Amino acid sequence: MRSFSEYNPVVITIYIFSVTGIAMFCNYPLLIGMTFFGGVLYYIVRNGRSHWRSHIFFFMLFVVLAAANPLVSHNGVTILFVMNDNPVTLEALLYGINSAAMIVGVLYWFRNFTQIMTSEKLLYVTGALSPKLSLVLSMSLRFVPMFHRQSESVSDAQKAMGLFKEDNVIDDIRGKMRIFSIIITWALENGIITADSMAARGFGTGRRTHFTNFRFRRGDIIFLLTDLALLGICVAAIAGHCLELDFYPKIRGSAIGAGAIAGAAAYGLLVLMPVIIETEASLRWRYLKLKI
Amino acid sequence: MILILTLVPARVQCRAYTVDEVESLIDGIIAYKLDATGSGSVQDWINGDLTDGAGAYSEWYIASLSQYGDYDLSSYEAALRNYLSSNNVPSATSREKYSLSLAAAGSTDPYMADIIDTSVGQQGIMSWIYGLHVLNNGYTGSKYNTSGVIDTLLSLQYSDGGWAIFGANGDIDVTAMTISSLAPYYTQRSDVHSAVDRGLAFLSQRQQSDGGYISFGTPNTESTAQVLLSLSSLGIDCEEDDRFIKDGNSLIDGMMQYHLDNGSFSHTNDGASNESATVQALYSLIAYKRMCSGRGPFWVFDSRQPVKRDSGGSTGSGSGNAVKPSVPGTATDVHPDNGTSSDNGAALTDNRTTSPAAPAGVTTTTSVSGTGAVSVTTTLLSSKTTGKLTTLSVTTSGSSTAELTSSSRAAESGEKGGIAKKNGYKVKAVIIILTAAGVLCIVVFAAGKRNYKNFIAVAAAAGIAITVVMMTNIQSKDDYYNGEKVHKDDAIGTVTMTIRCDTIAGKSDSEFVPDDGVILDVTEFDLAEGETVFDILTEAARTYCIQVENKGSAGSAHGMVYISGINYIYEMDYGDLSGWVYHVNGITPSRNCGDYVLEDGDRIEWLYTCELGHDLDEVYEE
Repeated sequence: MRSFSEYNPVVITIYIFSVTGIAMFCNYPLLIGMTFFGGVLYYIVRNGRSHWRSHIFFFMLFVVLAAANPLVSHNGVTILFVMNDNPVTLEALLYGINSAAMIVGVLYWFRNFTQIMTSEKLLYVTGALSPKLSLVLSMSLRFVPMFHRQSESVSDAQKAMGLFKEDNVIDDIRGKMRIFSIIITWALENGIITADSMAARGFGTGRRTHFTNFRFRRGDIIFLLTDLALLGICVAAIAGHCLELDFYPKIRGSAIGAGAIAGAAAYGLLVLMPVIIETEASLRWRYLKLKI
Repeated sequence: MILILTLVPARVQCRAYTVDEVESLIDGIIAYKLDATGSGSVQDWINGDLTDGAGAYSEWYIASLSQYGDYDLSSYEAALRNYLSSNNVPSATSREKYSLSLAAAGSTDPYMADIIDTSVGQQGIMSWIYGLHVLNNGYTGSKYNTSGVIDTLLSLQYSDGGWAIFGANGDIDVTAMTISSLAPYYTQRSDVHSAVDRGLAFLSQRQQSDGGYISFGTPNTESTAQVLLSLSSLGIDCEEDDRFIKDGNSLIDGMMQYHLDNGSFSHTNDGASNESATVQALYSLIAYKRMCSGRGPFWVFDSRQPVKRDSGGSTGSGSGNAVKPSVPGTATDVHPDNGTSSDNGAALTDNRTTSPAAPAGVTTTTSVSGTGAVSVTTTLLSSKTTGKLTTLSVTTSGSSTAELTSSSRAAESGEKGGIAKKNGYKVKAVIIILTAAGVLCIVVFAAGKRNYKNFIAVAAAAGIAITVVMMTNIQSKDDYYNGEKVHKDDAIGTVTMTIRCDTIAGKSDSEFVPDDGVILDVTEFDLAEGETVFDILTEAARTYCIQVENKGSAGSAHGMVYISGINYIYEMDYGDLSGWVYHVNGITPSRNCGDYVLEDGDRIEWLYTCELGHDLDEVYEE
């Protein structure tokens, strides 16, 4: 019944880190592809068709990251062409695409993570570890929306003073750079004032209490155990060298056997868990609504 | 009876292929080709597919059919002459190949003799071998005769008895091909006799227990086929000569491992039919059959005809390197170098590499007005003719040249189109950028954002893009790794260079670490004024197809160059302190290799170290 975001923050954190951990420590293209598509799919399931501008940004990032690798790494036997005495190879290009998919996929997972993990949940998770860390995190998380608000008000003020022209690219960029510099100055000053003010009020001296009580429910435990089981299978497959692929100098992968299939299937299921939960929840809601 | 049969040893077993069986194998290959090309009969095939493929892929089939049966090859001959008259052939070995196929087709075209002076020896050992084949067919030029070419080939023999395009050891294919070309002189010249015997000993020693050969680590059909052809040219029956029967397996047994049910052959044991393997199997079996029926060596064509010249038409012909003065009135009889061609029609390897590579050169078209306004087209080819690498790869049976080529065929053929023309692409790229900038300006103007600064921004972006295009130098793989020994006219001397990785030889199971640790044996290079160690390394990489990765700003006046990997062996592959260092005359310089200007007689060594140089005998520069 609950959507994924309503699960216990500890469970969600463990889940996110198990997905991204595998993606970051195993470069097997199948797993990377699953990470990427799982992340993007869940993001779209959560947000629908909004944020298309940010999708374009991440697509550009993907292209840049993928193209950068063959330009700096020239290992690989399949030469596409030679640029400035260095060969540009297919292997390096594929490696670049693989790493770009990994980076962008992991970024998408963290976008989902930040959407789900409100600062309160984050404090709940980190507060148990260290009150200091929790304080730093809560403050830095607060900065991001605060910067955004402040830059908009500075921009408005500049426009009102007639300092900001938007009718051509060069002045636009210069105006934005000026606002950026103003914001940095303001942020440094604001940071010091905030720190003094908080010290005066006795922040960070004791254990924090929370507004919401997060409990472990039956669903949380089932989810956690499933997550750990699937993670275990996948880690076992990776540790058993079933999911290995060398890009350089020649693409050579481990033979596809039962271990590889089990590992990949487990990871695929792991990646799809939030989507499955969301779908199940929305179907149930629809069913309940129909009954009314 | 059974007792007798079992008592007769391996000899019976190895005499597995009768002439009839060999003939049925040949017919099987031909039937396969007829089926694949949809031809009803061999003559149909010649007139149809092979005529269409003249200059591209038909040549070895024509040579085979000419030596196998009595066919009318005139349509092919006309097509090839047409091809040669409208295409410039920049590769010396390709010109020799076309000469041979013209001879096979019974042509009287003067092309066969005309190309000799400009082709023989112009492209390494292969051009000597094929040049000798052309000479063996009775065509002569003014510069070369058979005895001179034979002397050169004998001088190129390695101490192990083999021949090779590069490297320290003989190569199966090149050795077999050299022996095939020397075969007519085996009994006539004693030095040829002994050299060929040493070559045969080398081949015999390298034969595997299955009867076949391994070339560059890969067992394959082609190497075995070339050996079969060379033995047949010498009149040696491979089914009976003990030197070439291993464990009861003969050369034909070795080749039959790759025989497929449809009659064709595969390159390796992967079971996929391969054009190159099939055609080489075809002509080697034909050569064997000719030997059995007492006919001459395969490469001396029965149907060859002497050259017939039209009066006045003897000035130069389709030879690529010649600046051809085209005489009005005879221009139709000879082969004008038509510089507009962008396709050199593939080199020797027609079956293997179908990638067209553009001739790297300068084309100038001069219109001579005068008597009848004759237009003379002249092609000045730079030394960087293309198709060299492809030539290399046929002679070494694919697996060599190394991994640089083999796996990439599919990928590269698509890539070629865009970057085929050297530097031509830059003009195109700049035009595209300018067009895009223009279109963007129009869009900006139409959108009403007509502030002049917007146009400045577009111009700046276009300027940056053009700068990037001008500063990068993109070359196609074949252009770059051209396998051509560079001769410098302004050479001030020679230097030698060797690349070794003795410190890790035998300690790694990587296929890129040679067993003896020698990546490039001591090799001599021409040295021009001001050339650095890096220049020579780059030259070696291009000539001998060695992968080299450099980091830093090579080429600029104060560039720092660091060599991070050679032949896929990289720094830090074998421990944190491993990497490539260079010595000159045994001394470790304290400069980067792009700064070290060489002198005549310098001795460069590139060495792989695992301990920051302490595992090498280091003497530091003062």
